[in-house]
Amino acid sequence: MAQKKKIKQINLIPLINIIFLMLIFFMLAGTITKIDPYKIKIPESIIKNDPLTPFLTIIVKKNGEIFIDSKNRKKELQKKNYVEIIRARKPKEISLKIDSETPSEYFLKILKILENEKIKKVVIETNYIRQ
Amino acid sequence: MKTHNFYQKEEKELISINITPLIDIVFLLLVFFMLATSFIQKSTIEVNLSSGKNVEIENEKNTIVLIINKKGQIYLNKKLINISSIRNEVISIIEKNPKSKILIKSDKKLAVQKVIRLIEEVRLAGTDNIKLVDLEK
Repeated sequence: MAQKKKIKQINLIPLINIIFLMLIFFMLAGTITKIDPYKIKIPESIIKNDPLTPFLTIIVKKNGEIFIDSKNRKKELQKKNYVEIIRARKPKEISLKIDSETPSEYFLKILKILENEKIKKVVIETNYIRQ
Repeated sequence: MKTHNFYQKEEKELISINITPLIDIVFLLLVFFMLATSFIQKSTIEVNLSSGKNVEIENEKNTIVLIINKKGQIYLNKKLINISSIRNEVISIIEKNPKSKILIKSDKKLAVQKVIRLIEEVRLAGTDNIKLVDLEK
């Protein structure tokens, strides 16, 4: 009688099952985040509000450097320019992305400038931390 | 005579689909989603700017002054207070006087995070009537 050749194979099906499950989990539970070119660590908040996507975002770095990020373009701007852009676009609301370690003097200065430019609503971006 | 059994012959043949490319693709997708996704929930804080209504409120009767200094110490009407007890203190003040306004004076060098935390505690106490100024003012 001819001896049957035994084909030794590792059963990959359980592995594929686990990988598929993990893939589905990451696809459903997570949200794809944009790469932040400014590397800003936004403040933490204990109140959960829905994130908005206003037309104009002012980015304030730890050292007080200011950038403007609009929907269509990302461009480094001088401090004088950002006020001009706000004046030109006249947004009703502005999103403020400020580093959590920024001294509050920059924060207050920007709020003052926006107040002078008659911006009615400023939305500060935060990370929600469940307590 | 030997009969040809078609089905018996088929059973003996090992037909296997090569699943290695599938695993490769799934692995790639998994790695992509693991790296690109974030579980941090985004939130926002709304600040309503009182344009053109920048009135000096510190000396007003109904104003609650909250001072936060360089070290992060908080003073409620010149009394040192813990961040965790601010909410209850503000609630009790607002219950007595619903027209109360909050004036937050923060040190210039203090990190924004601490100011935002203070704003949130006041908001959770149930008031939106908040004014932010420099400590030096």
